[in-house]
Amino acid sequence: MLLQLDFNSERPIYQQIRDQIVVGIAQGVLSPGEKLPTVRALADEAGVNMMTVSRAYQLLKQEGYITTDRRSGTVVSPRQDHQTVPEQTIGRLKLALSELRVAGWQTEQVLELCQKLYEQEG
Amino acid sequence: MIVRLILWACGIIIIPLMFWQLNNETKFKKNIALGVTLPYVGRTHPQTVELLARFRRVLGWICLGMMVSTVALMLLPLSFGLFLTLMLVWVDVAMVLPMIPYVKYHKKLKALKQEQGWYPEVPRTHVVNLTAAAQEEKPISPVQFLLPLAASLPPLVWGMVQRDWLMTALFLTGPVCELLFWVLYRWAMRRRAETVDENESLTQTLTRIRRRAWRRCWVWGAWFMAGVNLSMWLALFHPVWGLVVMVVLTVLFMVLAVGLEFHLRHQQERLTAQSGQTYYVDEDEKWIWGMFYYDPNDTHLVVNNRIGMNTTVNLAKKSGRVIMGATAVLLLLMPLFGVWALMEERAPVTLTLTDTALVAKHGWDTYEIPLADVDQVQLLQEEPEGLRRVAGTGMDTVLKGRFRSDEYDKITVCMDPREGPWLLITMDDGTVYLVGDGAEDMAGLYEQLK
Repeated sequence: MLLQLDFNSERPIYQQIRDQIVVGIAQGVLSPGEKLPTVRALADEAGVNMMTVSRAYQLLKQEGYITTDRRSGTVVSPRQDHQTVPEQTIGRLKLALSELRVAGWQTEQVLELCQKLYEQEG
Repeated sequence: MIVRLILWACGIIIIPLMFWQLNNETKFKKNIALGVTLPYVGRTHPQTVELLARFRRVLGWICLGMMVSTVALMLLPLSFGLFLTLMLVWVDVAMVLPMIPYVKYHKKLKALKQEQGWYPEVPRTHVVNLTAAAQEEKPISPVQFLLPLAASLPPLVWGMVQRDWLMTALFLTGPVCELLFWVLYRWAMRRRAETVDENESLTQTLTRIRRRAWRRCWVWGAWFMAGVNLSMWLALFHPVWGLVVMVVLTVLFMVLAVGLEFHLRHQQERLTAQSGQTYYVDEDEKWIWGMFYYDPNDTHLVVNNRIGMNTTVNLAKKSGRVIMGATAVLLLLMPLFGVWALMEERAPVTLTLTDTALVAKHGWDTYEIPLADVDQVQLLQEEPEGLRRVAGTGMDTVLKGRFRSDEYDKITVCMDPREGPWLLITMDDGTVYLVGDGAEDMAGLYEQLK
């Protein structure tokens, strides 16, 4: 899987790493149980500070996307059908819906768009 | 003459190497030619093909001109110092001149790329291969460096047993270099995967072959240094054989290292022949003139070259600029070594007899022989048999430093070899001096010393 980091973006690098790993998991490019690189290896590959990668991994761990243990390192967590939606996700969704409402989108249109995007990502 | 021929051969090799390397840059590897990344469609574009062909022609003429000039340099009746100075100036020119058309055609190809809009869909992003980073790669065992280290130890031990500290220091260079090679191999090894496009197996293969070449190069370098140490040891007893072995080893190592680089380039070319048709990685923004890496977002100082197995430094880092600047200054100042040789060559050897000592002087070096400690003085009409240099200067006009001879073993020499006789002075402690300034009254000086 390839990550595309944009150093000119306002979005911090650790967020970009976190987002793209989540997208990778959602699209099935990263499957449950798949091993992720160590913090050092990913920092070396990306040419970024280890703290940046560590922060992205911390975030992913908090949100339940990955788990870390001494034996197998960092791996993608198994899919949980009814896992709790993180507060941040709800916040982002709310913001996106508000933007669409302001733009004059109807509920049906929003649902249709959501369905389309969700299927694409799946 | 042999030394001059070896120096000439060492210098002239730069031109074929530069020609092969730069000519090879016109063949697409990892979608890159002349330091410019192009999509698959751009490779066969008539304007691209024409630009690359023109560059090859210009490069060929420049290299031919440089070869002819160096042949003329060898044929001219020059003194060693002047020959060395001109040869080193020539080496500097040979390294810089072929790069001028490279930069010129790189810029032209980049302009064509811009004109045609040959950019990937998602430009200006830094590609990170998550899959490749997850594959652990252990560095090679230190044993691979310890074996050549062990092989280079006997001369060092010999030097210590003989209590010859100069030779010990000389033989220490081999083991030190081998340890340094191990450190440099680890330090300069960049783990970044060779990602060209989305093809994961291609990335894995390209990364594997590059790392393998990198490992081999350093291990071979360590064995080469062990061989050099042993050949220097051999040269103390059989100078000709020592020199022959050293030349053979150098040629062998050069052939292996250059062969490895070109083999890797050929593999990179073959494996990525079909790449660039859909998604491809384009990092041209980070490479000034396609050859100098500048990325302020990259925390690394040492980075992989895009083509081949070499590494370079990140010029966005201060230490990178210092390393690159120091290397450039050192290369440009090389001719000063020739100027130094010229001064050494022209400086006369002088002998002065004072009340307490005989002082032999040449350039900045002074050899003071206390008269009170002199045991025996001989006037030699011919040089001692098998006189060979261990450490010092050996020119047509002067021999000075540490020498050995079949007859007297270790000798400290400061003499003008063109005209005898020379004085052979044995001290109470067994130290032997051979001095002579080529002056006519050497016999008179001999009488005074007696």
